[in-house]
Amino acid sequence: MRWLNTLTMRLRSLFRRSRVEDELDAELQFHLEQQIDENRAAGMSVEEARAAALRGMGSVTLIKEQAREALGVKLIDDLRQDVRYAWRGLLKNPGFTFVAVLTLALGIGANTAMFSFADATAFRPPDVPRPSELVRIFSSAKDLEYGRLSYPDYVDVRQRTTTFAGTVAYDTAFVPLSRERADVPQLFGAWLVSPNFFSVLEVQPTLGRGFHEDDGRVGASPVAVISHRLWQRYFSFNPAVVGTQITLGSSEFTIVGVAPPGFGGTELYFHPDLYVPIAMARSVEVNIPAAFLDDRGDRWLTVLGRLKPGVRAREASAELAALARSLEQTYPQTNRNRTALALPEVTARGRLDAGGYQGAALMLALVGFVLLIACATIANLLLSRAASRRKEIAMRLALGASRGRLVRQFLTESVLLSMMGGIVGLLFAYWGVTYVAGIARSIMSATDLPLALDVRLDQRVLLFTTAVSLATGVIFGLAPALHSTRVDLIPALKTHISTTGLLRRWFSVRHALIAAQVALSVVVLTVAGLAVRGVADKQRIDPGFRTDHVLAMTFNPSLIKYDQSQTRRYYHELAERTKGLPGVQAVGLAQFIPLAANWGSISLAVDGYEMPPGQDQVTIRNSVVDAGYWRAMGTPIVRGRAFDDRDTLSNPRVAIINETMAKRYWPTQDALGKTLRLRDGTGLPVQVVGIAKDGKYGEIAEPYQPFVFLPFSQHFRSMMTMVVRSHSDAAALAASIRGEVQAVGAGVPTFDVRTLDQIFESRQMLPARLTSQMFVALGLLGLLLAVVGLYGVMSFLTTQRTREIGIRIAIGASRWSVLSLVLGQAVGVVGLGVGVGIGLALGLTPSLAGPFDFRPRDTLVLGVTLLVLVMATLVATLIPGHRATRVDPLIALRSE
Amino acid sequence: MGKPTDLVQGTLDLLILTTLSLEPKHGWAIAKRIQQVSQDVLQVQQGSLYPALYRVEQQGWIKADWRETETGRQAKFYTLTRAGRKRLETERANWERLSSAINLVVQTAD
Repeated sequence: MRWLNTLTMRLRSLFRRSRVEDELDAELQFHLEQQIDENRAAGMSVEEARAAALRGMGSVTLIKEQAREALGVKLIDDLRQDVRYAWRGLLKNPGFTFVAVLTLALGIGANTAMFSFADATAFRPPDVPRPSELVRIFSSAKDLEYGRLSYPDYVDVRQRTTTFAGTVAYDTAFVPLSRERADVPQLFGAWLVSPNFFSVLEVQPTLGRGFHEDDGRVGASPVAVISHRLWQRYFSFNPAVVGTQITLGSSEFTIVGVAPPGFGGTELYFHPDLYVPIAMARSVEVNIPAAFLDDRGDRWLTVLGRLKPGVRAREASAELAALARSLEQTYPQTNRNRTALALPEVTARGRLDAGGYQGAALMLALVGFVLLIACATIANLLLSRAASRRKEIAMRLALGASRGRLVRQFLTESVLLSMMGGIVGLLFAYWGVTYVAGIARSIMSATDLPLALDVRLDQRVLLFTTAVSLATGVIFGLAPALHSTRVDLIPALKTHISTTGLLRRWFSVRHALIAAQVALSVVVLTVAGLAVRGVADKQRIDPGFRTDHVLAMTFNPSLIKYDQSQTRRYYHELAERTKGLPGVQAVGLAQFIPLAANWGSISLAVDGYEMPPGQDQVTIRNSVVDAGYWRAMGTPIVRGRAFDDRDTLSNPRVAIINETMAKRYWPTQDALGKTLRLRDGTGLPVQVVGIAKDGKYGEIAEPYQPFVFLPFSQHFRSMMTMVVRSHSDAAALAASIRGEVQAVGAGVPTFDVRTLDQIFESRQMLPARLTSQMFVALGLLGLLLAVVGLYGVMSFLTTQRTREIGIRIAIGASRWSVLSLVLGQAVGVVGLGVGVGIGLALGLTPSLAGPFDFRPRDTLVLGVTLLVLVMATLVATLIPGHRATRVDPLIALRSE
Repeated sequence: MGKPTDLVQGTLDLLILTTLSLEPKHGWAIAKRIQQVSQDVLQVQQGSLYPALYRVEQQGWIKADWRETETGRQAKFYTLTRAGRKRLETERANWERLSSAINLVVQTAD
C-alpha cells in the first residue's frame, strides 16, 4: 500500500507542518554537529570547526525551502492535474453529471437543513468565546437530579472552588418596560444576572459597558443592559441609548450597555431582551420574597461555570461534590442529601430535555440514511460508467499508472461531484431552512415572550455541509474506484470480449447496493407513515376542554405594584365587566391554562394514602382557578360541585381533583369529601369537593395525570389568565375586551391575547405537523432516490444483456419470458432489501415513540410502506423490462 | 549550486539508494559515504541532499526513523524499502545502459 504511505506522509506535511519542520531542523542540526566533530578531529579549534562547518552547509533557509518543496509540490501538482482531468470527464458526460449532482444535492441539502434544525433544537453551543469551557452546575437531590441553586449556594460555589475561571448565575423574569412612566408598559423577557455575567462569558457589549461588581450590591442604583434586538426594535438603534432612563415595573433603570448582535443569552429557546443585576430583582418583580438572597432552600438560579483552561468537567464535578458535602454538614436542614455536579453545557441540555435531544439525534440518523441511499445510487452510476471506461482504465494502467494513482484520480472525481452536490444542496437547504424557520416562528407565536427557535444556515452548518460532502464523495467513490481499477489488462484491451466474467463481480456489488437502498427506504418510509399517523392520532385526542370560541389573555397587576387586595378587586371588576359584554357566554380566571406554555405543581400529603417508603409527600400538577373557569373552558365537573361563593378565606379550604387523581389515590373509595394536606408551609387541610373530567395539561399526547385545582378565592396569584367563551368568533371579542381592560386599570400589563384555537394550533399541532412534514419529505426523498438508483441499474444490466436477449428472441423466446428474465433479476434483491428493511424498521421505530409520540409499531403503516415500495420498484424494473422485450434481434446481434 | 537538473536529480537518487542498499544511514553518513567511495570526486551538498532524501522518502523508496548513533546522539536514519530495492534495480540498469551509451558516443567521437 505504497499510496497509503505517501498519503500519510503528505498529510503529515500538510497538517503537521510544524512537526515536520522540527524534524528537519533537528536533522540539519545533527548534520552540522557531525561536521564540527569531524573538523575538530582534523585538528581545528572549536571556533574554526564551527565556522567551517557552517560555511560548508550554505543557507539553511534555502535547504529547508527546497526540502519543503520536495514534500509539497508534488501533492499540489497531482491534485491540480486530477481535478482538471475529473472536471473534463464530468463535462464530457453532462447527463451523468446532472443526475449525480442533483441526487447528491438532494441528499446533502436534506442533511444540511436537518442539521440546522437539530442544531437549533439541541446541539448549538452558546454564542460566546470558547463555548466548550462552559459547564452547567446543578444541585442534585434524589427527586431532582439536575436542579438549580439557591443564591447562598451559588456564592459558595463562586468563592470556594478553584476549577472555574468564573461562575455566573441567572434567572428569567418577565418585566414590563416603558420609556415614560405614563406609557402603557410592554412585557419583555429579562435575565436577572450575577454582575460578572458579561465578563465571565467574555461577551463585549456593542455600546457602553457590562456590569461592575458594584452594580451587584443591594441598594446600588438600578442599571440594565439591553439586547441588540431591543435596541433595534424599541430604540431604533439610537446611539444615545446608553445613559437613558427606562421604567421597568415601577422602578427607574439606567441603560448602561447594549449586548452585541447575535448574543441572545446562553439558552436555545429563550433570548432575553434585558439583563438586570440579581440584586435588583425586587425592583422589577414584586413577587420575589424579601429574603431571596439569603434563603439557602430557595433554589431558583441557573448557574454556569467557565472552566479554567485544561480543566475537565469531571474534575469540576469532583470539586463541587466535595463542596456539597461540606455544605451538607454546615447547613443540614437545607442541604441534607444534596450533592452538586457540572456538565458541559450541550450535554446538560441533553439531560434537561432528553426527548428533544434524542429527537434531534434520531432525525439526523434518518436523514443520514437518505444520504446513504443517494450514495448507493451514485456508486451504482459510477460502476456503470466505469464499465464503459474499462478500456481507458486498462490503457492507463498499461502505460504505467499505478493503481493507487488511478484510485486517487477516481476519488478526486467523486469528491468533485459531491462538492458540486454540496453547493447545489445548500440552495435546497436554504429553501428548506427558510420554510422550517417560518413554521418555527408560528410555533413561538403562541406567546408574546421572546421565545425563539433559531433555525439558520450559519458557519457551523456550512462546516457540517463541507464535511458531509467530502465524506460522501469518499463513501460513494471508494468502492467503484477500487473495483474498476482492478482490471485484467489483456482481455480488457481487446476490443471485443464477453463482459460476463467482469459483470458477475460487479453484479454482486450492485446487488448489495440496491438491497441496502431498498432496506433504508423501507425504514424512512415507515417513519414517514408513523409521523402521518402521529398527527392524525393527536388530532383525535380529547384535550378535556373545548378550544373553540375561547379567547385568553394574561394579566399581571403586581408588575405595577398592585397589592393583593387591589389585584383581587381588579380581577373581580374585570371579570364582571367582561361578562356584561354582548356575545360573551362565560368568563373564567386561571393561573395556568392547559396546553399553553407551562404549569405549576404542588406538594401535598393525601389522607389515607400510603406513600412509598422514604417519601412523605406527593408532587402533583396544579392550577389556581375561579368559579367561572369550568364553564368558560368547557370542562365538566363529573361529580360534586364547582368552586362558588362559599369558598372564602374564612371557610374551610377546598379543592377539585381530576378523575385520574381520584382513581390513583382512592382506588376503592369515593374521593369526594376526602382530605389533602398542603405542604406549602401552611399545612392546611383541604377537602375534595368536586371531581373534574380528565384532560391534557402539558402536551396533547401525554398520558392522563393527576391534577389538583385550588380556588382563586382561597389562594392568591397575581398573574392570571382570563378565559372568555363567546357565542361567536372569539378573536372578534378582543377589541371590546381591551376596552374594558383599559377602563378597569389602564397601566396593567396585558399580554398573550390569543384564542385557545390559536394556542392549541401553534403549541400542539404545528410542532407535530412540522416533524411529520420533515419525516414525510425524508421518506419520499429516500424512495425517489432508491427508485432512481434501481431504475439506473436495471437499465444498465438490461443494456449489457442486449445481445443475449436478442439471441433468445431470435430462437423463439416469448416476450413474457424475456420480461420475467429482467424482472427475475430484481425480485431477489428487492426482496432481500425489504426483509432487512422491515427488520431495521421494527428495531428502530420504538425509539421514536418517546420523542415524537409516534406509535412504536403499526401494521397498517408497514403494510402501506411495503405496498408503495413494491409498486415503485415494479415501475423501476418494468420500464427497462419492457424495453428489453422490444429488442430487435437483428440489430442486437450486429451491435457488438 | 543551482537547481539540480533532472539528470543530476535522478543520479543523486540513484546514489542515495545505492548507499542505503548496504545498511540504514543518516543524512550525514550518506554524504560522507558517497564522498569516500567516489574518492572525494562527488561532494554532495546539504542543499541537494536533504530535499532529495525527502523526495525519495515521499516516493516510498526509503523510510525514516529516529535512532541513536554510536555517539549517543539522536539522528534520523533512512532505510531502503522493498519498493526502493526494486527501484534501485531498475535505476541501476537504466544507469548502466545510459552510461555505456554515453561512453560509446564519447569514445566514437575521439
